[in-house]
Amino acid sequence: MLAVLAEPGLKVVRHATEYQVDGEVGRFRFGTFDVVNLADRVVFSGTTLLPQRQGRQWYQTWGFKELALLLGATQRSYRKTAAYLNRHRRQAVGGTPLNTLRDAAEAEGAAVLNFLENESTRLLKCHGFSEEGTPLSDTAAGSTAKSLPATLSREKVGEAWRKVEERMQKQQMSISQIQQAAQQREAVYEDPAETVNIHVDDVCVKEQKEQRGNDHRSEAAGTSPSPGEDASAKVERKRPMAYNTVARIEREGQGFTLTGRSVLGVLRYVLAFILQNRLLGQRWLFFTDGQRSLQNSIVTFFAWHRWMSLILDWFHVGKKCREELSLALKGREIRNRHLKQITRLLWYGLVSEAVEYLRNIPPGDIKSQASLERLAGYFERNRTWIPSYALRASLELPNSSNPVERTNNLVTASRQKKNGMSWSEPGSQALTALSAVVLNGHATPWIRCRKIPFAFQQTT
Amino acid sequence: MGSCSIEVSIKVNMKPTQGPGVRPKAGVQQIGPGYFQIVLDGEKCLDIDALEDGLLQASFPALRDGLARHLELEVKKSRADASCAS
Repeated sequence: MLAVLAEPGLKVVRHATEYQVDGEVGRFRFGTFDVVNLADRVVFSGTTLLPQRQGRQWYQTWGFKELALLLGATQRSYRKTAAYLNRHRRQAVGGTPLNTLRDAAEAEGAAVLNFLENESTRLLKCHGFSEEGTPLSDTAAGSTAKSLPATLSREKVGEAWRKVEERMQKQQMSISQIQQAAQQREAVYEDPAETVNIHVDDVCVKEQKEQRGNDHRSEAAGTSPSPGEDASAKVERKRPMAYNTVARIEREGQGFTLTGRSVLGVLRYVLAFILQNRLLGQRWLFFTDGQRSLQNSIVTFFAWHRWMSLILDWFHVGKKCREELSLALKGREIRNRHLKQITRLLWYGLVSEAVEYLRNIPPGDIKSQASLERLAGYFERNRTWIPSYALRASLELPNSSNPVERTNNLVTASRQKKNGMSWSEPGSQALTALSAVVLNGHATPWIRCRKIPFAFQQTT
Repeated sequence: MGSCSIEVSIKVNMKPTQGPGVRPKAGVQQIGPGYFQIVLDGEKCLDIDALEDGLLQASFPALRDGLARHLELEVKKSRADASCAS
């Protein structure tokens, strides 16, 4: 600036608008100066020395973002966060307004999602993959790798089987059932040291309507159809929901959470993360609930990987059985009696026996044959993904997608699923992304360097 | 009883470095009773984030120290007054 001023005929004038800062110390403004020539043309602007802003935008400092967005808005309502922030800064008047805070959180979350998108594209390209996540050569796909990921030894599986067999005998299961279950010994049981467990799930929150009004309200609530309305229309109307996809990647006491706008988007991030951590040669085990579209997406997306498999979460198997049998059978006692038998068979991986059991339920117990057929169809469809949960439990291998359910609660549900709350889809996804940054312990690198390291975080 | 006045002054100065390659000491230093100092790299003189962080880092120890010093002094004074009265 001094060098510019040395030229003759130049003068320093105050910039028309003040520079505005929203910081951890509070909101403040200060004047900046421009250098103009004889024709009143600006030859140097002092604002170029400061971070660029647009219009009346406030520059938000690192401290503000950490305090207000990552530690504030992800934990409690925007109203409470704004009140807390302005109280903390002793700026009850002239502090950060609620709407500004919400817009800032949405913009920050969108920036996180854009970073994940761009970083994934970069990593996929670096490792010889297309933008869509397909390997461009055999080498990229790891097909040329000579060694298979380790599995548990036959002795160890045999030992675990003996315990399972003992339990089956105690439960007075038939010899043929025990023989059927024994076939599960031949399945591959992964060595946890060479396995990546990937839990994927969708989490939805109530979507906000763009406009309020009686028509919209009744539609949103899915109740009170107008008098002339067809009753079936009422059933079809559902409250619109905003969806987030969450993936939790875990291996040997380490974990990482990824969130995104769609299943395919998140699967791309997962692949990029795996490649970045050089886990291509390991076994990838996906845990999901029975959501068909999710399973299909995973299987299709990772079809090229030789050591990928999927396990249907045990909790959801039990839940599905309970729900469908409640619809299918007459009364709680009958349902519980059959439910116990069916879940026992499924626990040992006896899918065919479970289907046969369903077919042989006495007609006198049945209320809805269609529900029974639906449950049988569910078993058939998921046959490949139902292992011997008993044997896996005996081998101390995971059977549950619980890690992602817990993560869903931490990144979305605990903040966004509360009475009377509804969200725009970008707003919900942005807040989920910010919560994941905090959960991964990457708040500081993100705020200061605008980077999220694709690296595991120690969990135990 | 008189009024209680609180005075705060914050100075942000640009100073020449002590020599080529000499880095400022990291963190806040107490340079006297109630006086705290943090020295940042020269290139941070227009870095809003670093300046705000530095100010907060130096201010909070100064606030704690100032409050503690005042209370200690006042307690000592009132004890002395009480013992004189008795």
